[in-house]
Amino acid sequence: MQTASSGKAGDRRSAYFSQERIVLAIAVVMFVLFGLTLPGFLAPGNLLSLVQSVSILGILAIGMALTIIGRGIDLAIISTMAMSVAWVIFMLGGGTPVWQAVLLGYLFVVCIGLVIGFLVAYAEIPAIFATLAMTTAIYGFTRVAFVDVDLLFIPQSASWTREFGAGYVFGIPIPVIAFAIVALLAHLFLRHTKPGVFIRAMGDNPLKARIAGIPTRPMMLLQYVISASIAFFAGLVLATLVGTMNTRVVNSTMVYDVILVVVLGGIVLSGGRGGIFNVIVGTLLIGIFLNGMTIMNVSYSIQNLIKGVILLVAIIIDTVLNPRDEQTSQQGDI
Amino acid sequence: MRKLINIIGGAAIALGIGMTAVKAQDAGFDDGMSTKFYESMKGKKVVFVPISIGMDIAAGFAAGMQRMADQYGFQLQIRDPNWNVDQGVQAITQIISEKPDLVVIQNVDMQAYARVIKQAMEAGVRVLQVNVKATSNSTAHVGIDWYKNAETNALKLVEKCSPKNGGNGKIAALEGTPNNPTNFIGMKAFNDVMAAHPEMTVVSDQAADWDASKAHSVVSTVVRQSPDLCGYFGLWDGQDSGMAAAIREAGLTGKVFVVSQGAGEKAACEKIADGSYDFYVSYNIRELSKHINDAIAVILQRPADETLQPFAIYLTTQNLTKDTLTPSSCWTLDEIKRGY
Amino acid sequence: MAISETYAKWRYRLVPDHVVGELLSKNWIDNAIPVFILALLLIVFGTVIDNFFTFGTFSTMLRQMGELTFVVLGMTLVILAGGIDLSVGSVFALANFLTLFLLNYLQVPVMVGILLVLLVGALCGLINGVLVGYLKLRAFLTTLATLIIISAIVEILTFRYARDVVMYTPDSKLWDLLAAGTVLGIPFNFVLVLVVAVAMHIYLTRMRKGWHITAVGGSRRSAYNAGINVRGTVCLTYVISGIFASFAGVLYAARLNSAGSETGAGLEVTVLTAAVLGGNSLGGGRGSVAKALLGTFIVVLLTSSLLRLQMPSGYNSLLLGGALLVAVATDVRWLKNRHKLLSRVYVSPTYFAPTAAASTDPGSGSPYEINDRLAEAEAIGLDQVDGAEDLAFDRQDNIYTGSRHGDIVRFFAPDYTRSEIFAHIGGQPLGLHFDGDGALYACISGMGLYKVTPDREVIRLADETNRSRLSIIDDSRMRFADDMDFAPDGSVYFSEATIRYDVTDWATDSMEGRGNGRVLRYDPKTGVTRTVLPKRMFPNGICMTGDGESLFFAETWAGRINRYWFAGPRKGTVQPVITDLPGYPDNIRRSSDGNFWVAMLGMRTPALDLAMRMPDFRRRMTQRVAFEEWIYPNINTGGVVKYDVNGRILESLWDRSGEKHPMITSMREHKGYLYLGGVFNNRLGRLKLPNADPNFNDRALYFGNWS
Repeated sequence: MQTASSGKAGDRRSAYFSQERIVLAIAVVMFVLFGLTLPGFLAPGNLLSLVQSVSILGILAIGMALTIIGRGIDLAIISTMAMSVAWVIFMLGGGTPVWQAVLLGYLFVVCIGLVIGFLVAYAEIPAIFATLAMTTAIYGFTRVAFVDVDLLFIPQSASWTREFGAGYVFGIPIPVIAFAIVALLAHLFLRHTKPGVFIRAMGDNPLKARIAGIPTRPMMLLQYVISASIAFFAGLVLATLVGTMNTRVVNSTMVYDVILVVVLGGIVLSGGRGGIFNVIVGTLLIGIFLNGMTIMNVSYSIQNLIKGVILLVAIIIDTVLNPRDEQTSQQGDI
Repeated sequence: MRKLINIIGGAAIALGIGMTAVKAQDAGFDDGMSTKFYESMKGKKVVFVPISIGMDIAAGFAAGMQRMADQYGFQLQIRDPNWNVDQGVQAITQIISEKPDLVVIQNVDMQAYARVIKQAMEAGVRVLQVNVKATSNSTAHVGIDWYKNAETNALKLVEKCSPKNGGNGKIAALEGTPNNPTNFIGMKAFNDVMAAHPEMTVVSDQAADWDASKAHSVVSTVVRQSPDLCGYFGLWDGQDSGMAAAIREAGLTGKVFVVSQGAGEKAACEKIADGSYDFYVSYNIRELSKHINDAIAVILQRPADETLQPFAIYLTTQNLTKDTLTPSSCWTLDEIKRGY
Repeated sequence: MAISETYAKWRYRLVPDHVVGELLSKNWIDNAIPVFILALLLIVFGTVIDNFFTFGTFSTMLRQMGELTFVVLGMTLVILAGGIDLSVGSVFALANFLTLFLLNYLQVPVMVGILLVLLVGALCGLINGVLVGYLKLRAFLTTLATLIIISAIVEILTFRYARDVVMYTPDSKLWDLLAAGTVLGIPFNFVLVLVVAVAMHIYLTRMRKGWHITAVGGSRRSAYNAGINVRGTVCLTYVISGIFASFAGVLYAARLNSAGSETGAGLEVTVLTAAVLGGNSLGGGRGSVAKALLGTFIVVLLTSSLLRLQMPSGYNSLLLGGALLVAVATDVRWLKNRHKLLSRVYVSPTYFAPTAAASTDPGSGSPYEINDRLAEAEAIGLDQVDGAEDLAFDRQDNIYTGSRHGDIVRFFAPDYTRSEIFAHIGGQPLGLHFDGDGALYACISGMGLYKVTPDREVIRLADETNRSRLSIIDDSRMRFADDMDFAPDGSVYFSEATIRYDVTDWATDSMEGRGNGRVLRYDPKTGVTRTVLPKRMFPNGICMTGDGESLFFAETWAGRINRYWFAGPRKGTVQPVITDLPGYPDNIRRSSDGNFWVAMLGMRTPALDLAMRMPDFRRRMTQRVAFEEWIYPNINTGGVVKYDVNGRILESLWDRSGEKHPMITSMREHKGYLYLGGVFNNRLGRLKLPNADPNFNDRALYFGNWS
């Protein structure tokens, strides 16, 4: 069990009622309910489409989860995704070979990750602010330096890569496979590599981690480079799936959706707790929800409303089960 | 940076052309109107407030106006609020106090700028609205009949899918942002048509927030839910590329009749050619841009103190299908900049 | 005088170095960075943009600011209490829509409509407040969720009613005023902002509830332990934020009359940027209304100017994002390093040339010649006293002295072996004197001038004086009341040793060589205290000369005793009486033979005397060397000196061993004995005076009823 293995006494006490289990239970209930009431919900085609529709969100959520587990947050994840991929498409439009464009795009993303990491680790700007500011800064920089339009279409010159994200392997859509691969890699990274363990330790108690000799600052850099890389990958899959990249998603509420998934899954914002399994549970719940709502033809605004209420309820339940008190709550812990 | 260079370059060219133009007139030929025309243009100040200059159609308008400004020797300024309504209002308020000869405003929606447009008119600043018209009238409006475009598309779907014509009548609609004017005017047309054709069944009417990836996930669910869907109603090609991708994934290209509309940028023609869109109403920006320039020319020729009756120009649209497509059906930004 | 020394003298006379440290110690110095940024932006835009400094430009900007400022003020309050409110943008949009809906569609009277909207705003805030304050949910996530929920509601409502709500505009003067009115050329909505800002400033800085908000944000745990209603306070900030955001929505509705779909989108980011750019610390405890206003103005200036510059849209985002980053980074750095910087630059030595000290060498024939007379003193309260700076006698000959714990301790006559705490005051008592009614007057360091009645009632007499016009430190506050004496008219003259240091750092003041202290006069008739002699070097002992029109006061670090005329023909003049004391004079008291006793708390050393003429050297020392290693006054040897009214030295008493009375801060002759006190000594002392009047009580010199 993920939460139990993180080794906190408090976790074990409330393990039966951990948010992850509650959400899983809600997901199962919703699944059964939709399966019984909505015709065609359980059709294999629909289930695949269900997972596929939230795969991109899931991939982004994994990147976000990694930073949150390390006691950070990456609000710039959407901006990184959109702007880097927009630049790649822009280069493709200008006739740059695919591999070269992707490589340059990736270098750009690594730079973004390093800058964010530097701001958080060395300039000691709270992650919420550093990434919030970077959201607009990345957008502005890319628009000034690289791309001068909002909406980019992948040109036909991009050959097979043009519809990479829309492909199938053994009947499974590429985005689902991409989600699975990223999830697996992230899980292995978190549980079985030193930096992964370090990041979890850092999220649990940054001061002690530092005293214990963990290079916390380089680890933070790594954390943001990874989340930026994941964002880039998600962006490539997304763009090749639909053939466009709209840089306006930077200003949309998509980043809130990503946080919603992460938090719904039971990853605590103060860091140190939770794993990739939580993200998968959160993603599935949202997937089932969105799919059911679409089948029921519930309007977009009402879906948003319900999503917000679910998020609120999840936080309330979490707080009731794992209360904070005045004596132990941290300063500046918002 | 590139833009800055463009602007500087543009200014330099403008200066050059202006000089030659002056010389040409000195030595040239006055047909009785031409000198008067050039003089009424020269040295005027026109300010353009787009939604965002990064938007393809706004960039198209700007390129067209810039070409005109360069040739006729008036000054064009662009204040880009970049999708931020508040900054747009701020920009227009500021512009009013600068008293230019004309403000060209691309409305975000029907409401946002209505009040400031009224204020501008009251302050004696002439306002040309483009693309979407605000609830208040101004000097002129150059735009698109969103209702008619959507109606054309909806009627096309009826023609293709109505049981009377051998279809099963099952269609779906994909909205953008519900409150957006192009969306709700378009949806009004759609609903009006559907009300007139009760034999049609709308199986899904979902919004995707002008986001291709959301469109993709909505449409892929809908087409799996109703594999026998006959047609899909789209409102903007930027979003509908996601719809087309989902339909292709489901292997339903050619089976689901996709209608869409858009500015007719080159990418749209590619999508029509590869069968993503079966029917496409194009409001060609190249033409719309020309209309805007015409309206500017008309307004600038009238004396500043003359009260103009509000006038409008609505664009004639083109209906594009794979068969009617010609190499010149669509445009690119470069072409407009170069003056095609 | 060497040229370098002349240079040092003038350089330190002309350049007021101490100002830097004093400025840095101000709370409002936090505003320096945003103000600097603002000034920079004004200069840059002023030069780049034609006709920038016009009324139109700023009038437009102020109207923009109107709405934004309200939201920023609300956000500032929430941030100040340690939270964050992301839902402001959606509350703003909801209020905008509701206002139009109520006034235009339902045609409710304007006043009623606005109140209803504010009520809804308060309700939204209350939801946030209850969730975050009482249920202790995380502010960021909770307000994020309410943001999504409320904006979804707005979306649904707008979709349904958008066109209906703008068909009609209420015909109301108030509405027009809100929309486009001006007061003295200033947009009306900005006037409202100013009014609310002033009210909020008073609330935050002058009222209990406002202080609670800062306290909760500053340290939630301490606030909780101090009994502050943390939950209620947090909840309150969200309610206020909701009201402010909704009022901004009302103003927006009035100005634009538009229920556009994009209203309020992304407002939370702009607002957060403004709040933080102004210098409000995320995480709470540090922030102000002024900061909120500053930040808002910077943001509005930046965005509107960039628009006017026709910058491509990317630049705008890049600069705003960059500005936010720079602002937070500076804020973080500033918070982290301010106290380090302050401790480096606060101590600011200046040039001072002390008069050569008289010799104390045995056999030199000097009246200060060293001896061992204090070794004969008997101990009183051995190992019982702690911080007995001064002592006084009541009618029953009981001794009263101060303690570091903020008490006045009483030793009972005749053997002074028993003691009790006479009164608890809270600050360390220094100079002590009884008045004619048997009430004990005390100078309390850090607090001011106090009186303790025989019934042990503690009465505050003075804790503030007039503020000097150019002083940067708030010198109206009394930091270091040291010694006092009664003038014949009943007023009290007392000294304040320094206005730059607290009593714990008293010795650091010796490093500066500047007149940081002053002599004050408290008038019992009016209860008012006024500064009579400013800028004196550590004024310490005060003692009436007995002529009814002058007093002696000691300037400790100058090794000097002055005579000051407060009445009579020479009123207002100061004359140095003794300038070459070999030690640092402390309290001055009357003797039975009509002369004066002065205590020496320590001895001057040639090294420090030389260092006083080398301010650069002392500056380097204070900045680079740990304070334990500084050259300090020698306070391990002290003594008592008797002088006459003309400043002639009559005799001196020393303790060469430094065992019993290494430091003497005060002495008082009483009934044939000289009683000794030293603030760091472990005892009081009593020395039999050979030729003294055995019935002498110095109170009798002041009050006839004491004899």
